[in-house]
Amino acid sequence: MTAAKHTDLQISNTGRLKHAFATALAIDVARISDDLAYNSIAEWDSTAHMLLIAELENCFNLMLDTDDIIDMSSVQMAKTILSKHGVVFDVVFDHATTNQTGPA
Amino acid sequence: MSTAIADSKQADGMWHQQHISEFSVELRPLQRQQLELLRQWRNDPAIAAPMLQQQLISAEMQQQWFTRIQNDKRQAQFVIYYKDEAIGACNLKSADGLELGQSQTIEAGFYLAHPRFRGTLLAFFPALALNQYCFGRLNCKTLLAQVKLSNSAALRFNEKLGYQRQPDNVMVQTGNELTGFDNVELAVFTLNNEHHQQAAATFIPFIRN
Repeated sequence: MTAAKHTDLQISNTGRLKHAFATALAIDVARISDDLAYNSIAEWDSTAHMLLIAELENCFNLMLDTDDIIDMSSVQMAKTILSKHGVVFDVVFDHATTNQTGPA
Repeated sequence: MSTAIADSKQADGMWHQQHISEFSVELRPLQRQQLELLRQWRNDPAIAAPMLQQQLISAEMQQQWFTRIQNDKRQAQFVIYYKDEAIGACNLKSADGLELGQSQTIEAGFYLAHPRFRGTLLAFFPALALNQYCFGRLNCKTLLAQVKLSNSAALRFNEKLGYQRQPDNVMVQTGNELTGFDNVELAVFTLNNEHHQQAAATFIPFIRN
């Protein structure tokens, strides 16, 4: 039961993260991958980066410090930084995948 | 005794003594003991590429340059600090020949040398601090920036700071008799206080600590 809750939360946070990126950068969710990096595409410039920070803070109800803002240079780094603030992503998501492919 | 101390400070640093602390960074007047650090930064090909002068700078040249400009009240030279770490350099130069504080038009220049910060949002903070100082403390009317046309990142950077691109570019000649001469085309930008304040307002929510 607890695991299921974690799984729901995990998928939800990954989805919310992708949605926040897609909204801030004004790109399709399908383009959001862990290695997507700041300044690697025209849409993720400094203005979009500020929109992204605001979107992530609003989405996950937290406040990032200056170092977090500077270091958030990719989707993967965003996950790492948000994890530091208590947001859970991939580890539980992997568990969810395991649960789904486990014995019926 | 106190005069000697003051003279000693003057001899070792720029004529201006004020530290500028805004937008999460501190701009400290350049001191002679920082010249070697600046020289290493300035000779880094990644830093030198957008500059007009590509010539390698020797320690002797650097010392001579500092001796020549350290009491020139038409310019100010700063080292940029973030959390007490030197990360880059910036300067102001009067564009109308008057001393800073009287000059109506000032040209601003800067670079970030620390690889962690280059190209990040932090790059805007020292520029905003410098611009704020020019309009708020030096009472200048117009800031001027000239950028190589090939430096697309710097062109966008200046626009984000509120600079308005002027319709005409300028051509300048660089190099010397040894290395040969080259013509470089520069985009010209100007910034007034109103546009600076508008640009700064977009960044202020992200100034955190």
